[in-house]
Amino acid sequence: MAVSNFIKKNFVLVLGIALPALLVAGFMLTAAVPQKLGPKPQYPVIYSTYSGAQDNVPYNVEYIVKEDKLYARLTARAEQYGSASRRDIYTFDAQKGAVTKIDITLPNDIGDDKRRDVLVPEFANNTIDKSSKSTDGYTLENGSYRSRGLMGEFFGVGRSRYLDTGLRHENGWMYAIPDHTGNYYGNIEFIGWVMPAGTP
Amino acid sequence: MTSRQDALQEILSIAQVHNLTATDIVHAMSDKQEAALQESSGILSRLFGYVGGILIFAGICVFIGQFWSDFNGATQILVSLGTGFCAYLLALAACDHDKLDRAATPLFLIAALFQSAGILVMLDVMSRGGDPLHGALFMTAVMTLQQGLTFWVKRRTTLAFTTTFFGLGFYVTLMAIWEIDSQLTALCLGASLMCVSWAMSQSPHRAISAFWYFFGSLLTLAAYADMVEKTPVEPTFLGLCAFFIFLSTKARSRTLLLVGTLAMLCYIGYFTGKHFNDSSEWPIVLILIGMAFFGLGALALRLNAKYIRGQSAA
Repeated sequence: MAVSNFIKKNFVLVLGIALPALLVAGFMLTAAVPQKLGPKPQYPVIYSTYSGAQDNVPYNVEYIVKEDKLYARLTARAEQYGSASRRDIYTFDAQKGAVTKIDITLPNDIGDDKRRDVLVPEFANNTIDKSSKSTDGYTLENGSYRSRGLMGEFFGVGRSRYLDTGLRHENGWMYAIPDHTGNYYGNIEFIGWVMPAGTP
Repeated sequence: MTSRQDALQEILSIAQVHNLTATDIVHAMSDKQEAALQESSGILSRLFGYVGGILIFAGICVFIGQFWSDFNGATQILVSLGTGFCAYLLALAACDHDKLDRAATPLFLIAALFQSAGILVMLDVMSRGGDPLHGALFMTAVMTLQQGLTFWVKRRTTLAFTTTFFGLGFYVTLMAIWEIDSQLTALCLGASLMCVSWAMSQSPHRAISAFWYFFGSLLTLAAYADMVEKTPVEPTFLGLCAFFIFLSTKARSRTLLLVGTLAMLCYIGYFTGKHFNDSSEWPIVLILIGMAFFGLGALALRLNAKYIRGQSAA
């Protein structure tokens, strides 16, 4: 009774205090509920990042999907000074919540070839779907920098914040990819989805 | 309404807020000698209270500044948080003594400043990394709770100010952590501050409502302008300015009137620059609209006097 009297008497004050609390509560709900309701991505995603390793091999390395299989494409370098351009590949399995780096053994040189494609043995038995959206509705979303909100803009104490790279469902929810070496702004390139063997 | 009527309205609202009766006012006005004595002693005690507070604050700051790098972590916490908490206890004690009451305000302010800084120092010394925003959230939550509960018991305007300040800081930090859009944050907090200021203006803490009205209206208008800029609903900004001017007459707030008027003028300037840059007719249209508003104002006054006030008196 006393509480309802207080609210009636100080309605504007209560509204003023409750307004931001309601906004935050709404955001907490919208952030938490969809992920709880949404199914996890069914298929692991393969992506590559630029490697920081100083590699002096006579070819550059990138990864391509050819006839539903993953290949490392080795391209002869025009100049032999400096280090080669090389990418690392990772898979993220949202069912396990784990990122795995795929280390593949590559030849020391590619002889006189201008270009050579080497099958990545880890996925030799899988079909790689290179369409940007998986069959269960997920896409790989690159991380981005965003303002740290009002705190930064008005008081100058905030800093811009890195929003995680992750798998975003078409209905809005997202599963973030855990941090690892190379997972930073603009360094992630989508390759494909690892489908079970024999998937058309 | 004349300035004489304005003044009477002001007296009425102050009397209402402080529960003053007509007899109290008549008594205070008739005994001029007593009123003059109370005024001069009030000014003196306030003056000494403020000067004392400034000197204490300056002394502590100079002391801490001189030896800060020589202090270890524990001492740094002690001289910041410890000093703040001591000032808080002293302020509480001063509240209960009529003779020391004037010292309570500066002591509460010193306490708020040193305690908040002290909590941040403590977190800096004792934490093992993490997001600084979580530290800021902890500090503002503790300070809002302490200042709010003390305000609940002591009902002092200074505590209403510090509670609002830390409460605002708490929500700003919380929204930053949840990455809520900055325009939405500003709009929500601006509207919230306007509501809190309204409640303050209807209470004995009216003195600080102007400050929060200013800040709240500025936040709301800036956020709304950002949101509607270059959209088909952009002219609704003018409506919001007009609403603020209307609100200023209801709340009897000059600050709100100033912000609303300046925002409206800025928008008209922006709109003119954008759409009627080389048009000589537009300024004339503006002047004519302005004159029409003067006319409408006079008409509204006549209608109010003739029909509304007359009927409500009946």
